[in-house]
Amino acid sequence: MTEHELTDSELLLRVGNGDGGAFETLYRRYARPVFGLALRRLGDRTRAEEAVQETFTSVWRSARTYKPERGPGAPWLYAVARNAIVDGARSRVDPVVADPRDEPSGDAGPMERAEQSWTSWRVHRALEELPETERVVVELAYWKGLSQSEIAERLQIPLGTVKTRTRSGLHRLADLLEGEFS
Amino acid sequence: MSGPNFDELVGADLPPAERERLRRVHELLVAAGSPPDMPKLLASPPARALSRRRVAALLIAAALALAAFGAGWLLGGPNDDFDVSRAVPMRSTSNAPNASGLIELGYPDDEGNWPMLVTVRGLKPLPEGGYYELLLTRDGKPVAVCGSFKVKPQGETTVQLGASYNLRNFDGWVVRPYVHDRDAFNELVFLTT
Repeated sequence: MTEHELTDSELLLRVGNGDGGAFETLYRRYARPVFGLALRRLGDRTRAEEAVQETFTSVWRSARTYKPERGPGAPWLYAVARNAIVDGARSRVDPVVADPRDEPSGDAGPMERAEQSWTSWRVHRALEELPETERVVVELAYWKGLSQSEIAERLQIPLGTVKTRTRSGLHRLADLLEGEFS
Repeated sequence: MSGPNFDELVGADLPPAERERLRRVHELLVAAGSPPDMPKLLASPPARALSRRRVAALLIAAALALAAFGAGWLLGGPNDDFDVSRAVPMRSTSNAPNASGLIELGYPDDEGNWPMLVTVRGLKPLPEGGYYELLLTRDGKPVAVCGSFKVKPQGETTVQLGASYNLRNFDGWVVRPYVHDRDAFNELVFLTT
């Protein structure tokens, strides 16, 4: 079994024993979700990049504390990333304390934001598992706003191929999200 | 909730249960939002398993990373003799154009003392009584001493220094020489910002 076939839990156990290859595989799976989480939380690409580095340094250092019997790898990694990002945000907080507004806000509350972050984390992590051909059509459809015909034109492939790849990608994502990366 | 037309994506020939399963994925994709474009800096994981024996190689990598991205990067490893929380490459100034340096920061003890290993290469030894000083900076200006060291005529020099400050109150480090001449204090040889 290659490292690419290992679950997140198995990779974390290997990382805990100092396996650099497992660490790199884990990085490839999670760098983008971590960066996305950090970007949403910090709103600054440079600081988000630093948070990714902080996160994976923490992963490398603390992977030996991971216990698979307590749960799969994705939530553990999410917690490590969130802590690294929060630490990074705290370290840059402007010491000036603003008056808290006592007005209702249209913004999402902490619970909604947490749920949104977790959803994004799961979905972006799952996307990393798709074959490139399927990931591209899914991303163009969902986040570039292209129709199936426009994707076919953009990628210079038949419309039927776009439809097949899109559906296959969705099936695969469903499997991955139901399995939740043990 | 917006996003592409689900019916257009999956067609009309799926069994109801499978259709519902894909609809849940569709809704998650819409809710998740677009994943970010990854910066080139993050193409590779941070260096890992920093062995003391690998410091020479790391110095080269640090110089390359700094040249390429102009930023620090982080490393760490559970098997090191010195437990490294992060490594900060130092950029040499025109006062030491061929020098390279690295600060490996450990973890603070309960009292807030931060151990650090400082490895330098290419600095010239100073006259008798002279030494180099590592200082923390605020707004780019040296404000707090972390210790002093002397260097070997050749090869690299590694010394353990420390800081008993809250490092978050500072923005970097500099190294400057002391050679019985106060003016020399302004001739920085390393910067990290």
